[in-house]
Amino acid sequence: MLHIHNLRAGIEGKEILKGINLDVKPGEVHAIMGPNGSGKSTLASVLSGREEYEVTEGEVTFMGKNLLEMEPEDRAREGIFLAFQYPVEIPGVSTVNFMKTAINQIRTYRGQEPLDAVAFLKLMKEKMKLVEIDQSLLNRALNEGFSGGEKKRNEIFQMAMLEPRLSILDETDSGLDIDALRIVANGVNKLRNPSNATVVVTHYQRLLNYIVPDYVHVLFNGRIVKSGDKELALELEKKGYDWIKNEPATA
Amino acid sequence: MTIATANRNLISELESVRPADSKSEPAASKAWERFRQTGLPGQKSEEYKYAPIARQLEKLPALKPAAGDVLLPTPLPQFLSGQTCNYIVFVDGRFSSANLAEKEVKVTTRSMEESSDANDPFEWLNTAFSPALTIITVAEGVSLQHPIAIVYHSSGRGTLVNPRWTLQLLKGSKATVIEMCQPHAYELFQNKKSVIQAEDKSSLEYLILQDGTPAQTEVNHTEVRCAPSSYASCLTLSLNCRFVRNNMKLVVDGSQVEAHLYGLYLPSGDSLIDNHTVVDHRQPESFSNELYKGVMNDRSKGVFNGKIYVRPQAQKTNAFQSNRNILLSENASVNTKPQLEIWADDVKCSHGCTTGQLDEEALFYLRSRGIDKRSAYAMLLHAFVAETFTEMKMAQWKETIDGLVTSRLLKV
Repeated sequence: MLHIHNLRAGIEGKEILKGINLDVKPGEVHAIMGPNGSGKSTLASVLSGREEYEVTEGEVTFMGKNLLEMEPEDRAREGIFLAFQYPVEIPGVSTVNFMKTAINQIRTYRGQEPLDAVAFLKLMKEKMKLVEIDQSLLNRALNEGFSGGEKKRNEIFQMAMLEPRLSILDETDSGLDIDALRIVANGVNKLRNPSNATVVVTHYQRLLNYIVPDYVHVLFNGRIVKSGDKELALELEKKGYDWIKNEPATA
Repeated sequence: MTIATANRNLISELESVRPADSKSEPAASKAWERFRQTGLPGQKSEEYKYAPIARQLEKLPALKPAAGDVLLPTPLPQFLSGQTCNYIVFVDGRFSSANLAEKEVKVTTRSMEESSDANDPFEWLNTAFSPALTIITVAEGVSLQHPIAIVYHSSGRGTLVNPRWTLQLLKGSKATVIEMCQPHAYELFQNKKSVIQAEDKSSLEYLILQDGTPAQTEVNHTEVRCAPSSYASCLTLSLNCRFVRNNMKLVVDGSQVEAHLYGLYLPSGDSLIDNHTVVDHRQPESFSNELYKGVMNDRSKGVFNGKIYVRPQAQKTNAFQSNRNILLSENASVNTKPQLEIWADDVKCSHGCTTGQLDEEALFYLRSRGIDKRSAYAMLLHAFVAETFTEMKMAQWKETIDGLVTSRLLKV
């Protein structure tokens, strides 16, 4: 589904990703862990198409198509979803209206009929229940005045609505208390199925107690230096990242 | 250095085309004298600093009013199509006809008279060139069912039009008013003056729609005078314009007045939209709120100047002002200046102005959900501008206005 080969990228002339290789197949959950500054968020940004990042080498294909040539909106339409670390507040745009526009543009892109008001509402009700979010929140301006937990829940709600093939959760656990974390993780788990995949970018192992990964990769200094299963995350939690930093690069 | 091409002598050009009927009018003659002596605001004029009107007029064909009355079909503009209106038509700046849906609206004309406090050269120019004063009256205590629509049609025969009218909302009356040009492509100069007198306990909803006149140069002097316990809400909506200067003056001449001034300007290309507003609190215990927003694209210019006066006797005034702008291009600009002069000591006043760019992070957020760049732009800009018209009560036009604004924003 997602194939990353020797990806090098940076911002303002500074190289941050120094040759990333990663393969994600349908049904898999990958966790990308690493200390601060290792390039985790940069990887998420490059995959979702943030324009300020420059790719200098390597290739990324998604469902066989060259991802790096696509506009951010086309990546979304192809089925990539980025749950933001810091969801943006947009006064004057309600989540409902914005989601309706997004869904219908995606449907049009895929050659499907746009949803009418009734069908949209039905879909929304169903997904709201799934991620335990209240309608009053969705009628308000997008994320404006939302708590940290509400913002993250709104991200997962949007993910549920858009039914992506590949979800990238960028530090979704940051700023969440344990209850909010559980709700968000439950939402993600309910959305898992054999045909979609998830990449969880996180600093702490905590989230992985709830979203259990098939693979764990440790990113350090712009490279994946260690890969393993969920046991690797537990080991990291026990030993800290220094243990990795002191090991010679294996990738 | 290039040297400006030979300056046209606009004053003598105008002198030679003064209408005969206004030469014999004392008010018109007096106004002409004042105009002639003062001349047009030049480069050093503080009031027209960012709207180089003299230079703009020099670009136009020779200024002259249309001779006599012109017979012209004057259908309701598309904006109003299918609506019942109290329809008042000006052709080439002259009052032409009234098609009134309600008998409580009266239209009369009488000889020109100058406002005692007229102090802008364009007010004098209007008085000097207007053949007569058109007076619209809404009867006491009447709430009109249909809007008053004042529409300026152009035949293309005159390059200088000077519409002039006064609307009297008698005590306790209630009216919705729209003022607009029938869209046209003529290169002409419209120099309008209008005064609305909102008497005690009257209520006014007022829309000035500036759209569909891509070649027109305009100076509009608009005055709203509020008597005690009156309500006024005005929106100046400037969409498809070339060079527009709006002088909007709101006089709060009574207590318990509630007044709202809204403005939205969306210039693009090389156009300029300049809003100069005055809110003059002359009596105590009234409220005014002013909100102007602009989105400047291409090489266009926006100007906002907001004066608030709170006179010594106007204690317990609440007066608020806000002007916010977004520049979409490096070559677009805006000059904004709040100007508060407060003599009373027990008042609440605030003002604020901002100029910024569109939030790139918000734009990326919308796009990352599958919304194309253009729609995302329009969505964010719409969210920015919408409060200038959603607060208005004009339910019948809100959707149309929203549609006009949205389609305009989709073009940026």
